[in-house]
This record gives sequence, structure tokens and C-alpha cells, in this order.
Amino acid sequence: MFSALRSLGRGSSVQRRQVWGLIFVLPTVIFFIIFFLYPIVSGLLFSLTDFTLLRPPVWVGLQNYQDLLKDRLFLKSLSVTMGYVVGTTVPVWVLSLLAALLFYQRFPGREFTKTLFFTPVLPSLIVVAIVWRILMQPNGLLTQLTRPFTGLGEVNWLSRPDLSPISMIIINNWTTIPFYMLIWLAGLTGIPSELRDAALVDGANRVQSFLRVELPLLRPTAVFVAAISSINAFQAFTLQWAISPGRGGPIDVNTTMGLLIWKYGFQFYRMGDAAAVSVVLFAMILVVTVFQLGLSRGEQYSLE
Amino acid sequence: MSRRLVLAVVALLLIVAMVPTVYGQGGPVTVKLWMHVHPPRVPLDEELIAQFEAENPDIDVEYTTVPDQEWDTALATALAGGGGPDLFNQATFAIGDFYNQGILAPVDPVAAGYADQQAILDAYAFGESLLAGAMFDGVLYGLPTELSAYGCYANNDLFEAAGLDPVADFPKTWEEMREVAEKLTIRDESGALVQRGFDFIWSNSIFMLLIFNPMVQQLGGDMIDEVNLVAHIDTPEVRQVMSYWNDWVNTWKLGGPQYELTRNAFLSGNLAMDCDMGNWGVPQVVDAGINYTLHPQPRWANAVNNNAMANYAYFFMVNANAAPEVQAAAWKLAGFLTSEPQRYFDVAGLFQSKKDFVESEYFQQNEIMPTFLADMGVSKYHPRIPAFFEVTDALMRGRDRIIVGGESMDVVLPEMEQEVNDILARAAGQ
Repeated sequence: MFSALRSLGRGSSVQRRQVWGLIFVLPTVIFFIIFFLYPIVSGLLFSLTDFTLLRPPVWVGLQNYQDLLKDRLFLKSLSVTMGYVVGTTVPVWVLSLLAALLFYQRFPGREFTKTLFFTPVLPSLIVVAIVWRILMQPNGLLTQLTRPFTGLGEVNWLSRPDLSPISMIIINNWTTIPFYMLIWLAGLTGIPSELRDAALVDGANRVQSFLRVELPLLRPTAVFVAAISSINAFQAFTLQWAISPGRGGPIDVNTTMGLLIWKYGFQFYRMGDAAAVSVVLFAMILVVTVFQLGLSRGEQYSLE
Repeated sequence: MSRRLVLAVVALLLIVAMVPTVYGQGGPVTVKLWMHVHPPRVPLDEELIAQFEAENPDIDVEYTTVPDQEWDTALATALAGGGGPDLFNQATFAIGDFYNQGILAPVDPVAAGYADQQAILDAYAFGESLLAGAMFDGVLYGLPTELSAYGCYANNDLFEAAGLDPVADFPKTWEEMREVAEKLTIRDESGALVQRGFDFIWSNSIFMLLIFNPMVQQLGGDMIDEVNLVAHIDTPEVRQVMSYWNDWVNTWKLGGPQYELTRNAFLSGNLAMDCDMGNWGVPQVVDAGINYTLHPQPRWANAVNNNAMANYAYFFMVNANAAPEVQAAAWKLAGFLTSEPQRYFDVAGLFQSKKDFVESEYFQQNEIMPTFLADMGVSKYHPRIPAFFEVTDALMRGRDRIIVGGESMDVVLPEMEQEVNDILARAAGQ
């Protein structure tokens, strides 16, 4: 060891820098191996076993994956997850962009309003969930606010199979739109005002200026927002676990794949199946993210 | 010189390496004990463990408390890792899984301080039925730390406000329950429920086997045959109970899964009768300032069996993978910790039906416990099956398809039965 370091001391400066560089990145590499690579590989291996947690895993090859194809709960969770992803991405992209455009304008009290708008991001999702559960009591505040329009004394926001997933989407979007608004706002701020001014001088109106000049330049921001919001949506767990009736109900309309992994692994002692669902979810997120990143490599617009 | 030095170092290392082995062969046995976090019980546990260690210098106890919500995950992952506790305080719900997977060691009666297994059963009131929660094929796998069953609490003030006597008018049958609940229910001008008379607890799937199934059993049915691992769900008894629950929500509109959890509603004075708390609920009811009376569970007017709700319990269980001497030490500790039923009842509200405690004047004069014990004595444990939570999940899904989704029982009940039978068959094969 010491002789190696001594010989290192006699080596070229490039060699020395390379070795020291490796030494400096070693902690990160070790951290990555222990906390990322090892769990991923073991998850993959567990997905090929019959593992009840209570006794050692037994190798079953691809059996768990074959079983998933006819697993009613898994197939249901696939459709629930896809619905949730659509509901918590596309509206979030549009509404957060509109909010960013609004807060990009100058108006009295803008900073205060912006701060107020951002506050739903601050509490943890579990706190948000509990607050919304109270608001969504059958005769709670939300019902009272909508009573003039619906005429209903009670609305089962969380326990009606048709309404409950929409309620989850509303709660999620309430807390995520301000976050993505801030990302869009950062993107908008990075666009030089001269470009807008030039478009206006050339006869474009504000909408044309936005569509033809600003939006193309926001493409990297859009890809970032799309990727992060999609990943978060695919991994949905906390809200559904915390406030859906019976954790995923009613009738499994809120059983996302994330929740199913928890149920299979830690409630039903079916860790092999849970790992198989995790691998499928991982693959889905990977495909969607690669697709979205691929889009960003298309026609590039640069400020250079 | 250097060779001698090397030999000396090697010899020293060998001696050092042998020390733990020699010490381990004759030294103290360590018992890793895991308990749920129940703050009032912890100081008593610690006091008794210290006393046990003083009386048994050859046994060390590593005492760990785990929060309730983390218990299942923590225990399962610890056992999966090949470690985990030697002695743990486990609820009966998943005991079928634990037994099926070979995790549980049979009780060692002698180590626990009894002559034999029969002596343990004889030491408890209703021993045969109340210890049945940890009995498989005639062999006992646990010593109870807490026996529990649900009683019915009445809010006296809400009864009196409705012109009812909480003692005389408390419903004795499920048929009466509807009438009394209706009188205690208050709706606002829009028809929204402001106060419920009574409601079932809908939030957690386990209540399908703790409350729904006992109502089926009162009628002579049983959704789960735990011996043969077969489900009987498409039956007249299940239809009668399901119809009652369905009417409760959709026809009589007296409650439902959309409303506040019954226990919370009762404690906040918005529910007049609550039938899903054990004796452990008393301190909460008293703290909430509720003037209450306690009653037995209702039965059906045409009941065939006199059972109340399902019994459930927490038992000391010993890890079958622990070394034999550790298992013996663990049972000795379990026997010691279950020898103070009155102190655990006084300090932590935990009930162990030891005969000397139950027959004491202290217990007999207690205002509520004889009511609980009477219902427990005539009731059965919930089915102790493998895949317990998967089965309850399927039962709850079927319930919600009918009551929340409006599907026909003719369609749902046969499908529920098939689904549960599939789950049981798969679990039995593992």
C-alpha cells in the first residue's frame, strides 16, 4: 500500500491525478453500489423467487412474471396507475405553465401571491393528505362549497369508486402545480427579453411570441417537468396509502402499482411478487423517461 | 528472534480468538425480546426484566420496542434476514402465516414454569378457548400478553338527549339495533348525517373477520373453515349479514364507509354507540369526557350461536430458528412476564385471564371486565389462516362491490368465494 503510494509519488502528474481522482470518487461509488446497485440487483433476483419474507427465497425463474399476466390485482393496478399518471401529468404541465406565465407578468402583490401559491409544496404529502381528508368528509367544507352548484348535502369524495381517483388527482395536483410553476418560471426568466421584443417589433402578438419564440426555447424545461412529474406519478403511493378507504379502495380504484408493491411485500408476505411488480414498474418508468429524453434530442433551439 | 516474535503473535491471536468460544459455551444466554410500543407498559416491562435478570444471572435480555405501524414490516424483514427476535409479542392475525412458515416454536411448559401444557390451559379462565388463538393441532405456540374482544360502548348523554335509557334501551339484537340507531341519528336539513346512532367499522379489511364473520357465525354459518382452508361465502347466512350491512348504508342510510372512523366519532361525541373497542378503549373514552355504559354485543333474533365478536390476542411467541438454549430461556422469560396479570391490567390496561386474577375480588368488582370476559368466553378466535390479510382484503373488496359499487350479491358472492379459495389454496401450498 505504502510502496504503491510511494511509486505513485514518482509517477507522472497525469497518473497521480487519475489515481487521486479515483480515490475521491470512491465514496460515491461505494455509496451507489450499496444503496442503489445492490437493492436493484437484489430486487431483480427476488423477483425470480418465491419469497415469503418468513423463510429463505426459493428460485422459481420467471414464474412470478407469468403469474402477473393473469393477476387481477396487478392488471387493475396497471390501469389505475396509468389513469393516475395521465391525470397528474398533462393537467399539471398545462396549469403550472399557465401559472408561471401569470406570475411572470408584473402586477401589484405578485411576490406575496406567488409565495402564497407556493405554500402547498411545503408540508409533507402525508400532512396534505390528512388535511384534505378532513376537507373531503361527506358533509365537509368541500361539499359545502360545492353545494350551491350540486344541491347535494353529502358527497362521498373519497369513497365513491368513480370520484375517489379524481379526488386523489386533485389533491396531488394541488400540491405539485406550484412546484412545477417554479420550474417553468425559472425557464421563462432565462429567456432574454430582447427576443420577445424583437418578435413584437416584427409584428407578432403576445400569443404568437409565446408560441413561436418562448415555447421552443422552453423545451429543456418542458422535458425536465415531463420526466420528473411522470416518474413521481408512476411511483404514487403516499396519498393512496394515507387516505383511500382500506388503503387502495374502494374496490381497488386507488391501488397503484406502488401501493400494490407494499401490499404484496409487507401485508401479504409475497415479496417475490412484490419484487416482480417493482421490476415491471422500473421498466415502465425507464421506457417513458428514455422516450421523453429522446424527444428533447430532436430539433434544438439555442440562445447561442 | 523475528520467528519467535511471529510465533508469539500467532499464539496470542489464537488465544484471543478462542476466548469468545469458551465464554459462549458456559456464559450467559442472550434473549432478544421485541415488544410493541405501548407507553404505559414499557416501564413495567423494564422493571420486570431487571428483576428477571437479577434472578437469572445466566440470562441477558435485550429489550426492544417497535412502533405498532412498523411492527409487521420490521419483524418480517428481520426474520427474512435470518435474525430477528428470539421472543416477540405478536398479534394473532398473522399467526397462521407464521405457523405455516415454521417460524413458531412450541411452548416449553417446564421452562415457562408449568408442569405441562394442560397446566398452562388450566391456569387461565376459559383456557381452552382463550388460548386456542395460539394452538395448532393441539400444540400451544404462545403465552398471552393481552386477550381482547370488542364490547359495546354507549354514550349515556346522547341516549338521554334522545329520550332513551342507555341501560334499558340498549339493543340486544341486531334487529333492535336498527330501531335504536334510527332514534339516535340526527340529520341536518339537507339530509346529511350530523350524528350517527351506530355504525360498523369499515376502514380496515380485518374487520371482515373480526365483526362481519362473527355475525355470520351467530346465524350458524362461517365464511372460513380454518382447518380445511376452505371458504363458504355464497351462503344464506352471509347473504343475511351482507343484506343488513347493505341496507344499513343504502336503504336506512344510518352510516357507511364514507363517514368518520367510528372510534373517533364516538370519542368526539358524534356517535351514540360503538361496538369495536376492547377494554383498552376505556382510558380513551374517559379522557374524552364521555359518560358511558358498557354492554354485550347484540345477537340476531334468530341466532343459532351465542358468540359475540371475534376474540383476538397478542401472544409471546418464540422464534423456532433460535438456538435450543435460547428458546428455553425465552420461554422462561415469557412465563415470568405473564405472571403479573394484575399489574399489567392496572398499569397498561392489558388483560390476561389468569384464574387467580379473574377470580380475585379486585377483578370481580371491576365495572366492565366481567362483561368483556363473558362475551370472550362464548366467542371464537378469528380464523387463524395463512394469507390472513390477503383473504380479508378480498372479503372487503367483495363487500365494497356490493355496498359501494351496487353489484348484485348473486354475482359477487360466488366470485368472492372463488377468490378466497384460490388464495387459501396457494397459501396452503407454500
